[in-house]
Amino acid sequence: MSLKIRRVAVLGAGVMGAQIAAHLAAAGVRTHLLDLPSEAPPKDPKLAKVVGKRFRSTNAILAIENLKRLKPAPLASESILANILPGNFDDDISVLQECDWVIEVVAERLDIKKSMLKKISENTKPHIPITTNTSGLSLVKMSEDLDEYFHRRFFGTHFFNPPRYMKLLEIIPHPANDKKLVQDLAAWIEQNLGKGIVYAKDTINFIANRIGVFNMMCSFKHMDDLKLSIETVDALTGKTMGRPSSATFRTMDVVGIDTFAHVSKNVHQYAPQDPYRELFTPPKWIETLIARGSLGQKSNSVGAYKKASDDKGQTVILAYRPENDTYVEQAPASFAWADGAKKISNLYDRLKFILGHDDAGAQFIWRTLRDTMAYSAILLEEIADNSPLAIDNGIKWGFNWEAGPFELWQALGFDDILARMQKDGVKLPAWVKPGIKFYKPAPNTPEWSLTGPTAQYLGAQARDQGIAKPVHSFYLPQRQTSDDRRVVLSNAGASLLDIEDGVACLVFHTKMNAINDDIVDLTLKAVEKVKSDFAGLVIGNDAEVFSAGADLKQILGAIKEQKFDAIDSLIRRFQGVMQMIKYAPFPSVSCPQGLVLGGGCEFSLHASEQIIAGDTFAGLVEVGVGLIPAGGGTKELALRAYNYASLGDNVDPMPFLQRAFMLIGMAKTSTSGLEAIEMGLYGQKARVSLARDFQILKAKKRILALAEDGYQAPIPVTQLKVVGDPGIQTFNMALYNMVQGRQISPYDAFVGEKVATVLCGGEVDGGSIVSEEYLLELERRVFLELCRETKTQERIEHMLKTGKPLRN
Amino acid sequence: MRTAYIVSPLRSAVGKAFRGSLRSKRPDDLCADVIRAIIKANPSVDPAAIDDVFVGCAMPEAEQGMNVARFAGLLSDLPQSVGGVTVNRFCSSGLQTIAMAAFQVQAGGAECILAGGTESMSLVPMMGHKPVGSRTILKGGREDYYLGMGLTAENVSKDYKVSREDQDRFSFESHQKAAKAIESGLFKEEIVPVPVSFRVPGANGSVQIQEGLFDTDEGPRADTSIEALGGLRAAFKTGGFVTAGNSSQMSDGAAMCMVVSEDFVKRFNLKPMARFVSFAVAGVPPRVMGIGPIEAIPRALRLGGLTLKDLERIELNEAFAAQALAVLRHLDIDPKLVNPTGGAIALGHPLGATGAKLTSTLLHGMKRDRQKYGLVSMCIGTGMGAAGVFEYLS
Repeated sequence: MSLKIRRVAVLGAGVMGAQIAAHLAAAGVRTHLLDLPSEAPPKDPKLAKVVGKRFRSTNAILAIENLKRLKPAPLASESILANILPGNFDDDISVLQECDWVIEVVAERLDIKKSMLKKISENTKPHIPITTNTSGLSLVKMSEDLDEYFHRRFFGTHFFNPPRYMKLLEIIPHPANDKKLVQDLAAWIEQNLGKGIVYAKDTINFIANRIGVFNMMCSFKHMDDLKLSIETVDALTGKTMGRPSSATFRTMDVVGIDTFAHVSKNVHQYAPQDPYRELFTPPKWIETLIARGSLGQKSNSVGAYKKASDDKGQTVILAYRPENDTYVEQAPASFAWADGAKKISNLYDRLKFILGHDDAGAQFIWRTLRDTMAYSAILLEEIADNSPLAIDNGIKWGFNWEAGPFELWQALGFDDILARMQKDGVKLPAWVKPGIKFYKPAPNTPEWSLTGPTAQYLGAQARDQGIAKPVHSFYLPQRQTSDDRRVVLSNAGASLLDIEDGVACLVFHTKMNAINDDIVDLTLKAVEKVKSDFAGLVIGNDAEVFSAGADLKQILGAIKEQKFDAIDSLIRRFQGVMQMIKYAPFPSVSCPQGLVLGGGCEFSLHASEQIIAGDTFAGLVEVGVGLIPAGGGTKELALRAYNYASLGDNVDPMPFLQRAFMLIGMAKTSTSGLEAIEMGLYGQKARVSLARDFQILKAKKRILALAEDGYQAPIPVTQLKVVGDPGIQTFNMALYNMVQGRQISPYDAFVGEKVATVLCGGEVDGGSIVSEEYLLELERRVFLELCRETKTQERIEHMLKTGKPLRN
Repeated sequence: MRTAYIVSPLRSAVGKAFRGSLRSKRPDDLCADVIRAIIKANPSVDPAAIDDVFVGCAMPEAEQGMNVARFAGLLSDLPQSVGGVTVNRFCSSGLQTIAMAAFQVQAGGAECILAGGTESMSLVPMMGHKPVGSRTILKGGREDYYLGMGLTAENVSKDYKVSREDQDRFSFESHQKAAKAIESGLFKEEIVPVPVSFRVPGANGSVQIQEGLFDTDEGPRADTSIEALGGLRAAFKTGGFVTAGNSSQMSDGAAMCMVVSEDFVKRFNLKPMARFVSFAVAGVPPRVMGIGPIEAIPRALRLGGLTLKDLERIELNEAFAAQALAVLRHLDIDPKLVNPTGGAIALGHPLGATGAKLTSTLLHGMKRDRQKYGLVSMCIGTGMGAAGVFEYLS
């Protein structure tokens, strides 16, 4: 990879431009955000104050301010704002000379785009990539006035909204591109911005929006034909079909009904050959809502749904009834297969089960699936250069479907689906014949889970094409498997894999990766194995969550049977394993991502270093169930606090302990990887990588670098000067006031004191000397004390029953 | 017993803590500025004849630690032979020093003492930089000793049935009265303009020094309304009544006066402003600290041989509207006599300085309105009240 992207200009500070800038900033890139210049300061004095002397750049400055308020939050942390430099097209255009990549995100009008591209061409270094974030305009037309040198380096980079969270980035090459430049930027984006790249042809709406919006449009038709309500369609098109729970209409309300209608009309206008063209005219009721300004979330939450209050003042969400233009209480239809389907966790098995029924719900699912598969096949050549993988990835990463249309088609039985389509008289391209296998190996098979697709079938070209294994993909197992030759050790809960070059990887595979006996057992053995046979250990997995915490069922079971000795030995073992990892003679790197809670978080904390994914929701949240982190988590945060204080002379550790106390005592969870570091959960040896896909690879490289450098295990902590009882009482003083102010319950304060007890090093005199082991003993003692409390037991039971914390 | 007189009760204007004009002014420097103004206002006095400097401070540490009174004296260029002692009775420290000075003069132990208080809440937080809880208190069933001030006001609000509406109205009126007083220039005579300077980063590693003169109280908001105050959320207790709007403001300020004997008056040909009549302190349960004046006011009046009816003007510190109203109602005090130029809700409450600041405001008000007897009253954290009675000498 030869590209070095250190400074980027984003031109156009609309909601999309500003969010792209925020994502770049989070990746550590200095980002210029430019927009039209203003002639005078804003009239609103508050805004004028924000803008100050730099009023010429008002648009960009206010767009950056707005990032603080947007939901979902585009900022990993407000600290990254310092990486975004506001400016305007007139005064600051010279900054383009210093940039390594320029992204154009100005208004979607050909004339505006043309003049902006001309300006860019005149003001940049000669060989840097220049890309447009257009979602529909033709690249060739946009750049027709510019020369071949420009065309070499000009292409589309289409981010999906919200760009921080959506994995998809469509790259639309220009026919005259320098292909290496495009590939190099794509590689940089994958590794640094964490995006999944899909190459799309320069056709209307590109790939994901073309297919995704089609799917919504055909839902409208079948909903009408089958007389289904809005909320029924949402019940069918959410989790049931392996799609986000916002399903069809809630998604439309979030996106904006007008935006959605605009995108669909785009197809109607500019794709006259589209065989389903008529479907792209939104139904009349959609036009009615738009005319009335009921555009969804941005119109006071009035759209397909309407937020209202009932007689008791409770918020209720009413659903629109197109037939008589009113909002009514939701009454989703129920279907005979619904309960059965819920019990089937595998998407393909579930869909097969549903398609075996024939009521309106099953019909709806069949017809929309059928049309979307057929449409994808028809457009395969036109929009995706015959690559099923491009369409499947596009729809998975751009619309968060669990599986794309071709994967579904193959896994549901290609021939069966084809026969049923033909029976329905669906038109298909000539190349669609029985026996086609879109992918080798087949989706939903053990082989697929080991390697991913290794070949795809190029529709109109009627041949297989190999798919190179991405360098970063490890395909870590999500259940115990005997098929994987890399497995060194394994039980039901976890496996140790040889991921080559002398590095091992510890993978959890319990439900939600909850830490249980199996995981602890395997880790014990894994540490011994790595000691003798490997250079170091990666702790990570490919699941959606790193680990949701300790297995509460096991703990509650032991409490119920009054087996407190068993709990004691359980905690002892967990602590022991954590200490083994911490003090192992080899380096370890953990890869927190997704949920990293409680015991899972403690696991990640004890590694030598962490590589944290951008979207990481980490926290020591045990107080939510009336417990404290007792797997060394409280101890680790305490040690870090004392360590920070020890950097100065006579520095009081209390402010550092207070920070740790807030994290544990208030069960704070990070909203990003960066925040997990900034709030003090992870220490100075943690780094963020936005590229979730590259996390394991980066961890492995880090292990090799650490091992190469001659890794030294940390020195045991034997002489720790703690704040002791006066510290605990200081926390009690604050807790008492919080109870009196009704901010926390008396039991919260009771648990809070226990947290303080460990952090402060026990009820000893201030300045007493203790060891790390003593803090672990305190953790265990306090944990057991809490286990005996009825209110803790109630909290655990409530969490197991509802998934939510109980405030008792 | 000898008589103690009050000469030149002066004060700084009160700055808003953290973002106001005194945010970086050291409280020892500020107090020295006020002392210097008092010396200047009495050119006949030989500074070497001053016996001592008593400075009240509620959180005497950091910039106001190290015996801030001694530093204020030295910084004001008093002869080094004049001593200094810092006194802490939390919010009433500034009134306490005046009383202690008066008692010492009355007993013949001194002829002239500079007394008052100074506080920078910008630089030293309430409870200080390192509060430490006591096991004896927290594990001995005495937790309420540590109850936060806002929560004690919630308790008063509940125990004395002071409604949210009444608290907000009281606060609104405080702002109205204070804004009007400032507009009419009523505080001009009592305020010592003090120099302020800010050192801000300039270009090329330079430091820009921005200098100014600070002479007007910053707290009052003429534009606030009952509706705006009513819209504020409870600041201390979920579902409570006490808000940032009906509580006193965090502030910076200093106030001092000269407490002298009759001999001293004659020797230096002074014209005292008032006679110190009496002073009393009383303890109340810490959980309702704001009602302290209910006990202290009658006690101070009794010691002075007066009754409430004799009082023509009262400066009752508005720590919280809830406690101020509870005190007024319980003692059946005519609200018209109280805080005619606004109180701490509008003008601010620089803790240890406030008692002296209110003495200054009281005496100058009595001078304007030709009144005879006046009283300053304070409520005090951990459950105390204090009251001082003065007779204006026309």
